[in-house]
Parts: sequence; C-alpha cells; structure tokens
Amino acid sequence: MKRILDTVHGYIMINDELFYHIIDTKLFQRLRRIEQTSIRSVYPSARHDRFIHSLGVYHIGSLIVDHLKKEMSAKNYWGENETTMMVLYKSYLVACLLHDIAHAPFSHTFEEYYGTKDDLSAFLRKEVHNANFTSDLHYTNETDAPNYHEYMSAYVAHKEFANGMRAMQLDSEFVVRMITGVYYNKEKSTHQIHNCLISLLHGKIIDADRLDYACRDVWASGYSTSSIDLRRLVSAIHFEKNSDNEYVVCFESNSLNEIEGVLNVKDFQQKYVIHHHVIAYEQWLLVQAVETMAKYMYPTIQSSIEATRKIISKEAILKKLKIHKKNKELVVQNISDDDLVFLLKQVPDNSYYAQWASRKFTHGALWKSRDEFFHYFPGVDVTKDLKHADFDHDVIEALCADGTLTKSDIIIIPREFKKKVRLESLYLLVSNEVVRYTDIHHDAIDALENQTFYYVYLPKSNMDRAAWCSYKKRIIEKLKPVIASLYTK
Amino acid sequence: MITVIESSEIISYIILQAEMSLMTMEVPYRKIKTYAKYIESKREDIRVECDYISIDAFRCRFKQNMKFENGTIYIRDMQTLRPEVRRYLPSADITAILNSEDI
Repeated sequence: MKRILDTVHGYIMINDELFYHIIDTKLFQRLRRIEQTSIRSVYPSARHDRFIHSLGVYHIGSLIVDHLKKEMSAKNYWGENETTMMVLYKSYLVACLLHDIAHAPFSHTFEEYYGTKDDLSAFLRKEVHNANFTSDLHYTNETDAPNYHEYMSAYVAHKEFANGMRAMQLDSEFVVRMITGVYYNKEKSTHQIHNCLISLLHGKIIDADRLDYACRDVWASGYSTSSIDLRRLVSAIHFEKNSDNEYVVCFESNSLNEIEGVLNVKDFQQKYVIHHHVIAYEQWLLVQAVETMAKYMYPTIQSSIEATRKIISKEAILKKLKIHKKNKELVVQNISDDDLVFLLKQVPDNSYYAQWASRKFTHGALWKSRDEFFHYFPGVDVTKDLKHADFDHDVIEALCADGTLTKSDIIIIPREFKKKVRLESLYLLVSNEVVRYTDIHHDAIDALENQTFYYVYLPKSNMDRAAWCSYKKRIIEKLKPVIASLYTK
Repeated sequence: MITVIESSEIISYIILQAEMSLMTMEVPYRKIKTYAKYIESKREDIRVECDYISIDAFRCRFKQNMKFENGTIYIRDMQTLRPEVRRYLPSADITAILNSEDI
C-alpha cells in the first residue's frame, strides 16, 4: 500500500499491485502531461492534469466501495456473493484509474480528431469481441453515445492493460463498460449490480468522475462555488430495488442539497468558465495552429484535418509518431501536451501559434458574455436559445457591407451549453421508498434544451482600450438591426 | 477545424422537407442516423451528435409539439412548428449535401 498526498482529498491510499500493473506505466504516466481543462488562459493556476484527476476519481471510488462494503452483508450482497462483489469492486476501482487513459492532448480540444463515433465504436467492438457487448454498445451508441475520448480510453484500457487486469483477475469487459457507460442491456436482470457500478463511474447525475472534477477544478482554478461535502454524499448512496424490482443507485433524500451543489458547479463552469470568450478564442487559435503545423509536417496530405489526424491518433498515443522533415526525423512517443507544443515550435511562421504562445491576440470579442450580448440587444428573449442557421451569414454580410472589413477578418465561434444531466435517472430514498426525482419534480424532465451562443471576434488593429471600446460600440449599432431580424421576428 | 453539429439540424431539415399539407409527422431515429452518417461520410470536418440525448434536447425546445418515444419523434401541429425550426437548419453547404439524391 502506498500513500499519495493530494491537495484536494488528502492522502490517497493505493495498493501496490495497481502501481505495478497500471500507474507505473508509460501510458498512465503520460496523463501527467495532459492538462485537465482548457481554462488556464483565464485561470492560470488551473495546472492540474488528468493524472491527479484519475487518482482523485480512484479515491472517490474507494470511498464509495468502502461505504458499500459496510452494508453489503446486511443486504445479502444484493443477490451476488462476496467473491463476485470483491471482483466487481476491484474492477470498478481499476476503471476509475483508467477512465481517461487515452485523453487527447489538451483534453477535449482535439478529441474529435480521433475519428467519427461510428469508427471508434467499430474499433472497440473489434477489440472486445463479444456478442453481448456488441449489442449493448450498439444500443448505447443510439441512446447516450460515449464521448470520443471514452471510446479511445476503453480501447486502450482493454488492449494495453489486458495482462495486468488478467493478473489481478478482473473482468476487462466490465472495465470497458464502466469507461464508456455501456450498461448490460441484454443480460440486464443478471447484471443489476454491475449496472449500478457503471452508473457510479459513468452516471448521468452523480459519479466518482463528476465528483472529482467538481471539487478539483474549483480548487485548482480558485473560483468559488458552494462547497461539496463528499463524505456525506457518499454515505447517502445505496443500492435499492426500484418499482420494476431492479437494483438501482439511489441517494437518501436528505443529500439533495449536496447533489444540487455538484450540479451547480457544472452549471457555473459552463456559464462562466468553459465558455469564457478568451478560452473560446484560445482554443480556436490552438486548433488552427495545430492544423497549420500538421499541414507543414505532412505536405503531401491535402486536407489539414487528415494531416492532424495523423498526429492526434491512437498510434501516436500508444506508440511512436515519426515525422521526416528536412533530413531530420522527429520522434514523439505517447503524445501529450508537451509533444504537441514541441511540434508546434518546429514550424516557422505559424501566426496562430505565435498568437497562442505570446497571448498577443489580434482579435477581440464584441461581447464578452451572454449577459453582455443581451444588454447590447435588449429585444432578444434571454430565455431563448440563440442558435440560428443564418447568424454567420447575416452578421458577416452586415459587417462587410461598407468595405472596411472582409469575411476573413471576422471570426465567429459558436458555443453550446449542454445540459447532459438526466434528472429522470436520479433515484431518491424517501421514507424507505425508492422514487424518481422527476416523480416529485415533474418539470425537470423538460428542462434539458441546449443553449447555443455565438462570439464574434474582430481585428483589434493595435487600437488602445478606449479606441477599441468606441469601435465596438459602432459595430454593435451596425449589428442591432441584424440581430433584431434574426431573433425578434 | 472540425465542427460538431447536433441532430436538431437534421430533424429541422426533415421537418422542412416534408409536404406543406402535413399536420403530423413521425421521424424515426434510424432516418436521422442515416442522414448523420451520410454527412459524416461526405465531410471529414463534420461530426454529428446523434443520440437520444441530443434528440431529447431538441424535443425540450418544442415540448408542446413533439414527443420522443421508442426511438421515434412524434410531431404535431406542423404548421406552427415549421417557421420555428427554420433557424435550426444546418448551414447551406450541409443542406446541399442532404439535398443530394444519393441519400
């Protein structure tokens, strides 16, 4: 047993065999060089990475397991036996460690370059090679598809950690299911506790992953939200039978304030942090810089996306990426954030990289938040989603009308606030009875619409602050009739 | 740069392609998925989020007019819905792909 001191959770206790088979490996150590969020441009202290997040998820997972162990014999192992439960718990903890193992460099910024979800699903299906898994994966792809990095993490976990899992006598398919959220659907009745554990890592409300980043991102960035009493929340978790006589994860109803606290952190992050105008612009810059670099590295490939996919690929994560450039061979192994920056530095005259690296941004946002947008355009209904097929076209046309700006001067970045919380899957224990949250709060089921918002960035052309402000005012006046015609018809 | 679009754009396209006289309509998930796959096969710079969660997010915008049950969207009062969904259409270049006869 080893102890790791974590600033968020205190000491994290981990068995030696997990170090040997999982943590002390090249792929797991790679996570030290994958940043957890993309918010460092605004919150410079948010230097936490996927490595400590994965250990944090393991720690919360072990708190959950310790709590469940206390009540399992009284509950007659929920129909399983003690040996099976021990394997399930251990598999759950390994899945906690491995859930982000194949995160792309710079976290979510590049994960779509891994390929389409259909392609990633096909890789995973082939790797696991099991008829029931294939059928359940197909169902999950339709109902609640995993994220791009989750397919890849499950693939890498199964392919690269198979020996370790075998040595620890774990069920590697179950680990894959927990990473991707592929519930047992075909064999649902015999895998009810398996499904409970899947939802405790890949749940739709509260799980070990969400609990760790809710605590860690707040701590690392320094912004303040309500604090979360982790131990109270964990002690409120139970496996109980619902009205369909199936075991589900439920929470004591007196823990609702803690649950809402966790959900509020996510809402706060979406509203004020992840979609901050500087973060959106910097992510855009980084993607442009990497695509420019990829084209430079692979000049014979026509498409910049295809070239980038050579660099952001499972081969680059698992093995070596070799690029021949001007009689030099650039070799990158187990690609991480640092390697991507190293490759970016090899390219002469990459203006996007120059901006990203120096933070001397050529463009500024016309409005810095949704609130500012609604202040400038008071006729627009603040409760409405702003998605509009004609937004780009109409805004560009209006801004270019007098010839002072051209289309290439204007950067429009849409951001989508997604509510992925499925409150109908939250079960509460009220007076010893298991009820759905939405049986009490009926409106919650219809409160899941996405909210799209657009940032428009224009060249600042060395204007000082006062000149930029008055320029913005003039532009916004010009846009008022356009926005009115888009949203107030 | 890869752009991620939502199933809402495909559903809006399907609604607006339907005959004007229709008052109700059923859109099976399979059809939305076929369109999503077609777009992804034609455009390597597009990813389509196309699962029930994404469809349900769209339904929540029009809860008076839409139900989503057993993998099918049930739409009623198409006349009032048509002008409302126009703004969720995909961009012109994606619409052009969907207009192709191969699909």
